[in-house]
Amino acid sequence: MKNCIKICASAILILLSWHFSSIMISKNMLPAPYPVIKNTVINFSGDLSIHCLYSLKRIFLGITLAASIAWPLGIVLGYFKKLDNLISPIIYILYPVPKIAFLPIFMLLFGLGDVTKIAMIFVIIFFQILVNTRDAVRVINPSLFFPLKVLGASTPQLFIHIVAPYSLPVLVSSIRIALGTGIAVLFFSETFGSQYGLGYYIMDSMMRIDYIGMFSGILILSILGLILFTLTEYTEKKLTNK
Amino acid sequence: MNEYLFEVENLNVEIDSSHILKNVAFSSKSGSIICVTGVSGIGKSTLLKTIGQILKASSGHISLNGKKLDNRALNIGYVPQDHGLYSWLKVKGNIVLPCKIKKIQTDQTHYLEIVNKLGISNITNRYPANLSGGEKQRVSLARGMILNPDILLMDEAFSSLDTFSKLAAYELFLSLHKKFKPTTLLITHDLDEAIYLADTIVILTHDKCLQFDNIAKGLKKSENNYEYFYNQISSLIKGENINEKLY
Repeated sequence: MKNCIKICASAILILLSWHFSSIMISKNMLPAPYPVIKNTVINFSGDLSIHCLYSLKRIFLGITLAASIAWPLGIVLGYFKKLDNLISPIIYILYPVPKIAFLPIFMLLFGLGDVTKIAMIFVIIFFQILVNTRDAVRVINPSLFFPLKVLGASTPQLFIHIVAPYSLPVLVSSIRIALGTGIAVLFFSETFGSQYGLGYYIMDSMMRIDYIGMFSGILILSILGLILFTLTEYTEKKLTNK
Repeated sequence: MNEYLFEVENLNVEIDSSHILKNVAFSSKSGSIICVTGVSGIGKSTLLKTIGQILKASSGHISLNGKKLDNRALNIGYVPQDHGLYSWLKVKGNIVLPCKIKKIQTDQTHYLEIVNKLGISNITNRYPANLSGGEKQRVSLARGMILNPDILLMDEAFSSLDTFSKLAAYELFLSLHKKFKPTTLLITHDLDEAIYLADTIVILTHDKCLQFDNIAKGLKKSENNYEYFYNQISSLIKGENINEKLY
């Protein structure tokens, strides 16, 4: 409840700043919040929601794909040190590369469709989850395994009953951290060769000098980010504050 | 030799070329409480981990009732110093986890008997983070006992408790042990604890492994004996020469 009040108060503060800025600048390129909100509500039942769903689908698939590969791989690398020593150099080379640099490669490889956009989100979130999970598993106190090891627990059993649940909050927190960059890159990639998605909607509105429409897209993108961020934060809290 | 059913013979453990345990040997009747004590770094926890087959012995033999110890064939319970509870599982989930590992159905009657005896039946739906130190200790003990273990390994299991909780925990442990009789190896720094709980005390020194039997019966009868024994063991740990045959 407290968080809800904080978010509402922050939203009001942002809307007020926006309102006064639009009065001060007094140009079409910065419309006041009221017409933007009105336009958003009207258009959301129309094409804006379709663009939003396209973006959401790309984010969801990118995250799911990244999590389903990077999380188990991070667990395995964190647990088996020798394997980690072999794979780590590859990770260290690829991890610092700005992921946006992959966009032209993916466009050439996968074309201008959905795959490129999903792949962009995938590479951003993949490394974040992989590195964080591996590091978390590396530092598990070995004594945590002892009560099960004395029972003759197999390695898969240790993974299922200890390593996976232990690293689950790390998975969620990695998604939360990478989400902001993921949405930014999604916006960028949707401006290329797309006909659907919030990135396309925003840029298309700008080209048509429909600044109210452009701001509606930005507003929806921000709300989408806020919802996803809050959801992951809530899940993370649920997993850690037991 | 036949009367001793839990046996450790000439056990040697090397870790990274360092000889941690040298020719450790002791034996006791199965179902007894064996307290292993000695100065820090002498290898007490290593001994426990080797018996629990977490570590591999370089050489030597550990057997129960004449059979080589195998944690897949036997049930071994483990109660660590820091409780070792899993924060993502509720108390009940923690207690019954060994049954899942052994792929057997939890014996509900046994489960209820243990949680009732340990006084934790009202907290089984809580997460470990919401428990006191004493409660965590009892949950950890319940998890160690859930499979009705052949061997119970306790690594300084009572050391984190305050004096009052400790005394209560001793009584709970002794009542559980009396009922289910697992062969128990308890690592402790606390000589009072060892003398109070043990049937057999094993003292690890740098070059020897000394064993004293029939502790509890002899000591509970007379306070003088208790003090005498305490002083003898203290002297031995300090490296003084004493007569090993105390009784």
